[in-house]
Amino acid sequence: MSADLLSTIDQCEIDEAAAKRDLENSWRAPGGFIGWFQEVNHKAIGLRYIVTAFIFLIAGGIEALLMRYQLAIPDHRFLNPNLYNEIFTIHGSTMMFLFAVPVMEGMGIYLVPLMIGTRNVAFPRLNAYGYYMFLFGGIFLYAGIFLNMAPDAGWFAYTPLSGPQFSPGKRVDFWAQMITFTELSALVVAIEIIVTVIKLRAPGMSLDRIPIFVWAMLVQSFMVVFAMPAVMDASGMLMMDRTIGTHFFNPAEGGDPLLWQHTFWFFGHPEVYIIFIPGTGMVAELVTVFSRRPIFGYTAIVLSIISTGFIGFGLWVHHMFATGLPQLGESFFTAASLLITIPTGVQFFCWLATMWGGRPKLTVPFWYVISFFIIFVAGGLSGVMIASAPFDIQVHDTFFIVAHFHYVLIGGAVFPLLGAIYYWFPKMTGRLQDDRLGLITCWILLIGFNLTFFPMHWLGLHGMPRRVYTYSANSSWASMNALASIGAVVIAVGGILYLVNIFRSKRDGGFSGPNPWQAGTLEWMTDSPAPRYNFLHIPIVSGREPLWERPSDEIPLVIGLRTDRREVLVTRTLEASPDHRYILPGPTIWPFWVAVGTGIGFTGSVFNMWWFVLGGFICFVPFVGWFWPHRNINFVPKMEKPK
Amino acid sequence: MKRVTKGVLACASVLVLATLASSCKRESRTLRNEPPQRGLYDAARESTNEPGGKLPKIGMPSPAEGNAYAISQGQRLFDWYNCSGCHAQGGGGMGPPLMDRRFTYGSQPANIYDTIVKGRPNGMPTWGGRIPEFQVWQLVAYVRSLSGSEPSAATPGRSDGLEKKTRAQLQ
Amino acid sequence: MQTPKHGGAPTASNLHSPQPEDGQWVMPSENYDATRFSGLDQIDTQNVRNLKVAWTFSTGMTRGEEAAPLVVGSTMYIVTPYPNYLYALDLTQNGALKWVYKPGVDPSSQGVACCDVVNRGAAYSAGKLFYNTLDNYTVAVDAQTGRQVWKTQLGDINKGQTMTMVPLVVKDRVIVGNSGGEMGVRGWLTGLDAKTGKIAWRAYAAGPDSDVLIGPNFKPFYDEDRGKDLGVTSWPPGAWKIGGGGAWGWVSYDPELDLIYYGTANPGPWNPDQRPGDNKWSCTLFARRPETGEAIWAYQIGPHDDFDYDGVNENVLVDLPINGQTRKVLLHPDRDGYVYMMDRATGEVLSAEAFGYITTSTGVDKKTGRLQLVKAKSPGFGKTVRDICPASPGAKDWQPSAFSFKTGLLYIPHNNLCQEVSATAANYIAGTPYVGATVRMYAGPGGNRGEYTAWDPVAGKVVWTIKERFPVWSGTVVTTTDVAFYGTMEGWFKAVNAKTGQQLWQFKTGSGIIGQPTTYRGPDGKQYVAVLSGVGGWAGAVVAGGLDTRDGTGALGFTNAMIDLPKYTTRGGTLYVFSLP
Repeated sequence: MSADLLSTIDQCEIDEAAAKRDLENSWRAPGGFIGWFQEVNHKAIGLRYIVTAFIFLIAGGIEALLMRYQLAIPDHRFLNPNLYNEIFTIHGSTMMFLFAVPVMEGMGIYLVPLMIGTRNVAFPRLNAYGYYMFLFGGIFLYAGIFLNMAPDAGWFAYTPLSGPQFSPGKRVDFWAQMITFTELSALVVAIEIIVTVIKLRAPGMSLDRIPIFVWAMLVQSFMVVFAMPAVMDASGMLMMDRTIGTHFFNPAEGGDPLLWQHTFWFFGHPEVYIIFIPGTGMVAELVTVFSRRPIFGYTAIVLSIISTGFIGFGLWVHHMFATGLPQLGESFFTAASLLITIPTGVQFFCWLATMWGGRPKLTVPFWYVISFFIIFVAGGLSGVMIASAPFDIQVHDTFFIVAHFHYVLIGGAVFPLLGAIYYWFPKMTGRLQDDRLGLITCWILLIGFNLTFFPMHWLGLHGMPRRVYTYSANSSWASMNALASIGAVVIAVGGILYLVNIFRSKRDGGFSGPNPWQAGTLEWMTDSPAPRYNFLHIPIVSGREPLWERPSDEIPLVIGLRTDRREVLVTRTLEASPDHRYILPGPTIWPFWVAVGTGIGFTGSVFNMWWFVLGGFICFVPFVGWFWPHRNINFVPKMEKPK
Repeated sequence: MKRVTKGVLACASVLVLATLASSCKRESRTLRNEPPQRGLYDAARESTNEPGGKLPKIGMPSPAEGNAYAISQGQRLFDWYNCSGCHAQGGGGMGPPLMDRRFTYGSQPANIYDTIVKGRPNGMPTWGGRIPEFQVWQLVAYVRSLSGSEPSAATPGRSDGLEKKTRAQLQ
Repeated sequence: MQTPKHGGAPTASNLHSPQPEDGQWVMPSENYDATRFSGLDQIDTQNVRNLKVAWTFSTGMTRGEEAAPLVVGSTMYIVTPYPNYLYALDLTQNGALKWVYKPGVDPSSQGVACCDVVNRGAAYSAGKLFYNTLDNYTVAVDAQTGRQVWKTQLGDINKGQTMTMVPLVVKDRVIVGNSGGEMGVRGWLTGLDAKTGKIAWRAYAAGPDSDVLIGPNFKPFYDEDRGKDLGVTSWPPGAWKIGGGGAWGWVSYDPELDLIYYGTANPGPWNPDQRPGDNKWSCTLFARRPETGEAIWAYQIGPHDDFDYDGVNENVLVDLPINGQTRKVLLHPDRDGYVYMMDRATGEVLSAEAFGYITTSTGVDKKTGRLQLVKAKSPGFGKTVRDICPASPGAKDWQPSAFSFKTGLLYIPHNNLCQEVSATAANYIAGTPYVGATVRMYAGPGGNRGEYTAWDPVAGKVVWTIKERFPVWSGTVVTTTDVAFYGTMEGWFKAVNAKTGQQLWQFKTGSGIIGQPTTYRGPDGKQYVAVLSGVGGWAGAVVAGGLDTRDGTGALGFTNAMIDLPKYTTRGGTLYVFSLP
């Protein structure tokens, strides 16, 4: 059948200019202020995710600096205990729920369609809805701060501390509903990415030719689908306990506070991999490109990522070693926690082998990868230490744990992310960043990071507990705390330089052209920045790095897709052979109004559960608009027929 | 469209301001308290029978009224000082119920403060000099919350522990 | 079956030797043996249906009326709940008020009375009436004039103590005990000199042997009750000082053996995790010499009590044919749901059979005498235990039973309640509750919360049972004509056939009945039946205290089982006296 539908450019005469004009018209952006709310393009939405997440990163960073200033000297009276509780809670919640996961999702939303050679994600309107949920959740949490309702029960809000008796007022409700908002958003993105990767790949991109970053996003999305409902359940149960007096976490009436820890960590541990797996995907891409050779052990890496996804769900109890588990349970989860080092180790050795066998180019993104190696290995080592229950009980709730998870999260996700943004920046803006400034930034961040977090190991081993707002001058913790606080300032300087580089380069950076790094994956085939329809013609793929196999203008292309409407090619799951055409919907404002309705429901339910019902009814109207059957279900502009 | 936007913005800001005003008091927390100021508070009236017409209101308002943290602390103290031993979770036992809005010696925060500090002749012990003043106010706020005299948004939906609701296992 | 020997009804003049029925009622349990058996025979199963109110008297109180109307000569004496007035009523003039004695009870004592401000009555001896006031005084009042003879302070309300029990007067001793197991008191039984009111001895329920008055003559039957200073060593350090074990129930006396029998109350706090150990001598039956208080034997019914099963219930002293020989036994229907039949000379448990529904234990081990507890039902920190049967008020609380020498049966007014308990940390603050448990009670199997059971002590089984909506919180009396009287919390005063349990007559009084009925021969030679009506007590606190039924954990969890009581009765104390027309 493909012979009828498809043919290569060699066989057909195509009016390139007319096709381009048609595509630009049918994929054009909705204009004006209202148009901003109608946008459904994956690059616009993805960029919004990334920018919003970075704004929250800055907010979370400021909170971190406040805490470090408070802890810089003993008996400091800068923050009172109440404010300190609020700040560490918001810092943790922001970084986990409003930065780390959304930014990875944003990268996925932005890059996956480009990397697999299609024009948009599978459900563009749902995608827009997901972003609004994320945005509202973040605004909601930060509105809480200004309404004196900032949560203060820690980012994991253990019951009974977070329950109705010990967290009075509406503070924890704001936290719980922020979870509901952001996790709903994460689920939406996960479904987008899964369907997009499975059904919208360019012809010929069989499963074994998918770029590793896309594999990582796929596995991450599946993990989201299984992990996020657990925490949404947990936050829902917590809300019900708090507002309508259910007893999910009240042991006296048959509930169990440990139920919270189980449901939360059943999400919370996979969450670590949800953040980390995209990071490894980015590292794999960067290692491949800058070693100038195809990745070593592609199959091993993909299988490692998949098995990480599976094993990631079998470890949650190691967060609960101090709760008095049965011996067998402790042993099992200790073993599982050690087991997960195997797939991670496989990936590391594959990356090392790739570099070994290639000709590494020490570009700025590659320096970030090197930083990642250093930090993440250190974090992994402390992870192996605390995977064993006896040691964990010793350092439980101390700064050792703080040091550990900052090493793995910042090392495993933020450094690759910063490298990845540096790497894909030309594709997003069409301009190159300042390499010298970039290199200095990377070094400052690496030094600042270790200065801040390495002393925390020492502090934890010397007994400094987490979540204390100050400590005594007699405690011998002062010097290490001072060092960590200095480190925090260094990180802040690095962060500012990173942003300066981005803003300066966006304005004045040199033009990059389509493929400044001579990379091999599909996104580098199209213009920089990529047009709204991504590719003039969908390419046909015959290998893992198509652009390394032949020059970009010799790559076979799909023709025959209509350009006067938002048509994409659906391919089959395994071989990516063409299956049928599919028309994607166009811009609309209804997802925004559904998001508003959902937001009203979630927000109101903090005060009265009936708002939740009302929110459902409010959503009903825009849902009708959203799904109203049109003759042409896409956005079809009025236009003259091309000659 | 502009006007609509303006209207929405106006409504939203009014809403935000209203929430701000109502939530400030509810959500504030004082974790370090001033030393007790003995003798500052007195003259709560227990009778509504005021010869010669209504007298001007005097007395200090409760510093804990409407504050969620104070109510929560009050609940904890209510158990710690064994108030719950006599008054249960508001239903009463050795002592009278506190959840029915019928206060023998007055329902105003000042009256309840007096009841706790001075005791009452028919069994209520006197706690003056035993419980710090700020804790007395927290207890006052919790006691008033039992009868719904405190804003519901500041009152927890349930407490940890055995539910006070009765179990209909009767005939 | 061999007819048991009549234990003896003491008279006003001579309380020491058994006498035939004289028509008086000089102590609430009628006689030293606590049988509450009347030899009066005018009212019988045939004519009881004609019973009519002869006269009534309002006590002017709104709290629970648990007292028994006493009759000495031609005067009736009743003690009210707080403020503990003693009324003398002239029986020759249909109960006209002769005098009233007002002891001047400290009103603050109401705040430390665990379960309503009741009083269970006075005891008459040698021209004087002795009773206890809520604020821990024992008073002696001249029976003729109503003048106070002496008044002795025995306890302190600031330590949570109150006194509600009936004194027992033996020889020259007035024997009294304190209440307050829910307030962390140190329980005791005290002997006072009947003439002067001076304290002769005090036997604590916990502490070193010298405090418990355990000396060389102490010979408990079972090994587990033997040892030095068990009242200290079976507690966490110091806990015995606030460990409860009051003696607020009944004391009975065997003149032949010269022993008094009484039980001690529950250990405090209720939360058992706060007092590991056997907690001796709480929940213990003691036999002591009335003169000196010296302990002769003891048997701990409930070692390390988990459920507030006080051991204070009455000990009915009868001689019964056991395995072909007549034995001096003691019948003790305990809160834990068993009727203990014990050899009252040695303290040996002859049998312990269940008369109520029990999930908390499986029986009493005959070898060791130890109650076999069900571990899963034991409350403690961090758990809520459900379906604890019987509930804390026990299968039977204080409400005294009666023994008929005619039928050989024990008539037990009792409860059918279960509960769920969530233990919490109890803080000891002197003079405040020391409980550490949140409780909700509810009806046991069958849904009826009360029962009136005829119990065959020799066979150890129930003969018949009447089910009542509410706990049968009143005492009972049985006559030689096989009529048994008891009252219900709705306010019904009932007469039933002692052989069959068939209801013969009932009368609706003004308020729920929790008092002890008595029967006497009036100056006119007619037989009367008297009972105080006036709901209250622990079970009736929901009405007497005006509790809010939305909180089931109120009144230590009793509210949950009694939320419908306010629909059936209101408060107010009245004495009702019935006679045949």
